[in-house]
Amino acid sequence: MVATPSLVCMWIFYIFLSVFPIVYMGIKRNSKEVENK
Amino acid sequence: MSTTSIYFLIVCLFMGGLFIFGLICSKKIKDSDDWVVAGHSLGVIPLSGTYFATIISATSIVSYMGYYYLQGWAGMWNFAGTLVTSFVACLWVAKKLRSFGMTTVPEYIEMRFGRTHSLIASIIVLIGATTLMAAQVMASVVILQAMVSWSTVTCCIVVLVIFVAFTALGGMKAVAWTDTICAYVIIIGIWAMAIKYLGIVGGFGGMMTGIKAINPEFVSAFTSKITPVTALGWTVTWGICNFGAPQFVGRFLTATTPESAAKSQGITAVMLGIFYLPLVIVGLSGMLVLPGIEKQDMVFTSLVTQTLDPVLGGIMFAAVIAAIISTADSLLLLASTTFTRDIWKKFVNPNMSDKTELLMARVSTVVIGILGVLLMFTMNTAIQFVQARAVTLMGSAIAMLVLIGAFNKKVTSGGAMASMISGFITACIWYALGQPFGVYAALPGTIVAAIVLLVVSKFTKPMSKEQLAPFFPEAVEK
Repeated sequence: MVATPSLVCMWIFYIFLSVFPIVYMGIKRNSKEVENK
Repeated sequence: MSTTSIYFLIVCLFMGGLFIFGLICSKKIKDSDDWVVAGHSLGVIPLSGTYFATIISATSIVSYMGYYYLQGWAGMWNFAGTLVTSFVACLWVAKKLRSFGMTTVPEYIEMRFGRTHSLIASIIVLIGATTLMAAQVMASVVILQAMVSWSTVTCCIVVLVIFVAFTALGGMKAVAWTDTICAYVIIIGIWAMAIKYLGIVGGFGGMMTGIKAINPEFVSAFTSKITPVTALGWTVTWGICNFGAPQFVGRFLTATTPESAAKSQGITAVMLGIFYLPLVIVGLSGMLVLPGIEKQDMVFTSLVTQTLDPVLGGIMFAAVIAAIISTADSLLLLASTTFTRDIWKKFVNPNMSDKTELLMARVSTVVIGILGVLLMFTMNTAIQFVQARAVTLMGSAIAMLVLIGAFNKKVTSGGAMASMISGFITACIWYALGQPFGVYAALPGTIVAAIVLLVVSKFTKPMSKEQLAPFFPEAVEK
């Protein structure tokens, strides 16, 4: 593999920063909807 | 038709479209709240679009592309802080700030800490926003002059007329929706260029192999120039400092609900990822497509003019103009709102009618727009100093009042005043010392501001229950 381990870690870090907030909000909203039902 | 004529035609069509769109939005403006915060009617899409387009300036495209071209993957650390801001805003800050129900950042500061704090913050914001806006207009002049042989004054007038007119008439609604259009033009332009380059260099694998052959450090997260300490410094510094820039934080306050403020930041984080990934790919594959460019700021123009067909090149120039206008209009709106609502209405004429406020906001937009550009023509050292450091200075003075003040009820008015002054002065001193150890002034500025805020708050008179009630209703009830 051409990419170094540190670069792969950096990619994971960026994916986490980009995607986690919206995924977390989605999960939170779903669990609230379930509670309300 | 020559290549530059095609570039110019596409840019003109784009700018004309924005102008017309702004005029349409202006018909829906009924009062000053409509103008300043779009009547709190902005949903998730325009909110994330305007935040994204405001934070992405010409520098983000032109300079960063060149930076990745010269530094490899490690250069990507320069936008980690921007992502951290959206991450923190989505999970904690945006919802909290919007729940207070204020319309501007100085208004929040006034309600939370007092009138004097608000006045100081307003003056810092007004000066910072005006000079930053002027810099964006000048950047657009450079781009226009790459296509037409107009004088600097003519280019300034054309750009000013377009974005000042739609900002003055349409206010936040026009700015938010034109910014959203700009955001998608930027993303589409960069992706088109990235896909074309990946095709040329043999896909992602071909790009990685090619850049590794040029320099093995280019496929690593850190290099001899960009160390883990540098990366951490960038991430923390800008992640915190952006909270002191009202052109970003003010967007949270315009959301329909606290939840949509938070959600828009989640979408912005995704949009930032979708924007920076192709930008990095273009910079890296650009090394293989057109090797040998030595100057960072020449990379974008060289790649666009020498490797793209005229239509795609025109879209790329339109994307840069979009980045400039969308940042400039937000700064102009911020400056005129700060002047009208946070300074004039509060300290000079509190009994101003809503109709007068709206008229004044529109007139001040035109005046500040012209004044900002005139400042650029009479450039002196003091203006250059403020312009290059506006976000840092605003961040050092204000960020902690937003980040800590909104969550900690023990923060006092005295602590906030001491924090604003000490953060601002520390950043100025750090600049005067030439930013020792390669540490950006924003880092010591915000650290000192945070420490002073907490320490002075401990030894000064606590805020009364009445003052705290709008911000910490549960704690006050207990």
